[in-house]
Amino acid sequence: MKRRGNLVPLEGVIGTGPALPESVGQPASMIVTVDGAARQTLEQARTRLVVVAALFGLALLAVSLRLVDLAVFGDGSSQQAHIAPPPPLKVRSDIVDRNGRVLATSIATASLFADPQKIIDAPDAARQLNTLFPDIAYGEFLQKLQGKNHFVWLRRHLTPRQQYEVNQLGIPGVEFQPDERRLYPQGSEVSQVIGYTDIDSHGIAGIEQSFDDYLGKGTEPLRLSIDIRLQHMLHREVQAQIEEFHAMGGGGLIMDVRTGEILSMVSLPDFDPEQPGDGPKPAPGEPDPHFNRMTLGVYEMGSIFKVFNTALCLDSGKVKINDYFDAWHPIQIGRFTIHDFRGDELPGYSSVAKIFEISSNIGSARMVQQVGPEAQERFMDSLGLTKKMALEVPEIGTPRVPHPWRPINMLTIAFGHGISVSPVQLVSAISAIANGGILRPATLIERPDGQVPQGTRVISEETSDMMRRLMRLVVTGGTAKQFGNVPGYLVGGKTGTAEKIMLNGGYAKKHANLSSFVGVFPMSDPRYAVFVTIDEPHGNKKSAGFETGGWVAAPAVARVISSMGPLLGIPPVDAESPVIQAKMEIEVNPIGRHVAPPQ
Amino acid sequence: MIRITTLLWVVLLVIAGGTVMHVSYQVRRVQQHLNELARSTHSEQDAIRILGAEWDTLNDPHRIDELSKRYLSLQPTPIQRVVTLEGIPLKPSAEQLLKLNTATQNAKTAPGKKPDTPVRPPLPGVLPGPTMASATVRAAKPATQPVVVHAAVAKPAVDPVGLLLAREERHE
Repeated sequence: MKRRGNLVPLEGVIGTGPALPESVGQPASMIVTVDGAARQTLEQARTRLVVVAALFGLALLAVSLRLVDLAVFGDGSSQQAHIAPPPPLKVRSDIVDRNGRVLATSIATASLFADPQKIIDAPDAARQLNTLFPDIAYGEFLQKLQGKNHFVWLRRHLTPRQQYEVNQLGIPGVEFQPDERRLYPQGSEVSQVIGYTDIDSHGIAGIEQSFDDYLGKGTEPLRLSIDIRLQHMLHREVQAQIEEFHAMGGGGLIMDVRTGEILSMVSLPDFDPEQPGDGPKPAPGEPDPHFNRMTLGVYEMGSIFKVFNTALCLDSGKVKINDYFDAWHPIQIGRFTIHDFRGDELPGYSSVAKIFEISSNIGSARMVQQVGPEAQERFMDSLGLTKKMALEVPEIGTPRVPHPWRPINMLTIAFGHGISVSPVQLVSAISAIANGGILRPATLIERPDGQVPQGTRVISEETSDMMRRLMRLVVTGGTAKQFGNVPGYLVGGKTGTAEKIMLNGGYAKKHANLSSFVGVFPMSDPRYAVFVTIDEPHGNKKSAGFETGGWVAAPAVARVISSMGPLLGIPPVDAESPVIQAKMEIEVNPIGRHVAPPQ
Repeated sequence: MIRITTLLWVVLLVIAGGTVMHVSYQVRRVQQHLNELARSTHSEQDAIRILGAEWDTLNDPHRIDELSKRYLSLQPTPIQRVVTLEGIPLKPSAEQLLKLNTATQNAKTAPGKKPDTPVRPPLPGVLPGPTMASATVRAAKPATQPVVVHAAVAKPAVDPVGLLLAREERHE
């Protein structure tokens, strides 16, 4: 039936179609029937048509069903299919302390910018943005939005809430850009070491600057040698001394004498690294909070240099520990007179130990006369005190050394005047004297286990041992005996009180001292050196008017040592035990030479 | 014959087409899942960074110091409380304890004797000096015995745990 019925139009077409030349001129009623092979071909074609039509029908049905499925039952989950995956998170690397505590980190934020050419109604947009960000003036927004360029920052580092609110405004032409912001969870306490970045997260001071390329790669965190707990202790104690003595500033250092790692570095006043530009600008004569006293500042360190002087004299072999020197008569050289702060305490001849213990300038100068300026210059050079040191921050001060190194310089350098070094250099050299005589470069980056550099020998093991005994003597009986000692930790050290050099080069002002103390502990087997310096302290009733290192800086060092020792699990030492006593005693018998002043 | 071959090819074609479609959709689905995972990893990492920063801000030693001063009566560990393992005496035997008890009672009843004299805890590797052991204790035992054992038992005040407990009780 179907075949037959379908055949009719075919016949009709053939019969009535005017386009066929065969039918031209024939009557319309004439029916043409096709038979034989032709008929078979036609039927085959028709079958194929039916099959194809059925397939198309099925396909259309499938599409329709799918449409119904999507429109009625669809959950819309497929719409994300074409959103590209987010780019891998890549922000500036963290800076962490030696225990992995975060000192600086970056978080992803969004920043708001506008394409002024796409802004339709600038005044309206400016008004809306102004209500969201009242701290930016309406006029400023308007000016930016009416600009001629295609890109202008509106505000950096939005909080997620602000971002949401801006999105709600829906102003065309105002868009977000992924951004990152640097955070310093420890606040100002490590600001001098870490430095800070600009708004585009490029380091412009401290570790942030010197490791800018590495940090910018966003790979592993940078691990410093700093221990944030010690940093806090040192910061707290230096701050306390500054307040107690109404000083203008101060600083401190803790160094591992075995490895040269700097565990803590404090310079006060300091600043908030998240807003480095904020805060009041220092008035003329006021200290700059961005100035790192420990690395960039170079100072005459005063009597602390007697450690180097004594080590030099003993190590040269030209001065023996049982030698005696005249520390009574002032030394007159040209128009200079070298006298002592408490010279009247040393009538007659004094031993090397006594000269060191009560910190005699005259005695120290007499001792170095046995050695000579060339040897002294060589020694200071080997301790790294004459050249700009290598450290991982860009702020490094160049030492001021005499040129040429004349005998008068030799005499003043014996007690720490006429040479200016940075505190980091000083503490490195002190560590070398105390640790057995090996100078290792100071570093702010944690040394991996067992990777301590060989270092260079600056004095013999025996001299170092003697220096430890002498430094212990300063704390048990010398200039630091009031405050330097910490029971159980066998502290040794040396005080230093230097008159500050004024801008005109002289030493004029009263109360313009730099009072310092460097303590090393435990002296039987030194582990750490702790240094504190206070800038222009003013003596008070409690210190009986004294402004010296023993009264001003030594208490802070002692407090730091008594807090850090238990924290680091350093076993206490019994100073009374015979083993320790034997390690700390100084044998001066038989009595050696008596060195008289040259006539 | 040709028809069968054609049919076979058609069937194969359909199967191949179907497989390609299936695989392609599967790939898209997996890709989509991957994107979702990447996005959530991204936001988790972001959250971890923010939480890490917050954690270290809250743990800033300066802040902890202030808070502990304000709310706690804890103090930094004094050096005297740091002892090494060698500094801790061994547990005495029952016989020694008995003798010590008698010795302590003698000491308590002895006129002019103050049992509560503060005693330094033993320093590591160092035998205590004469201040450590009272004369009575030394008399009770021959001098060859390590004195540190008796000192610790006779005077519980040197027990570091006891010290800690006592301190905690005080603070409660």
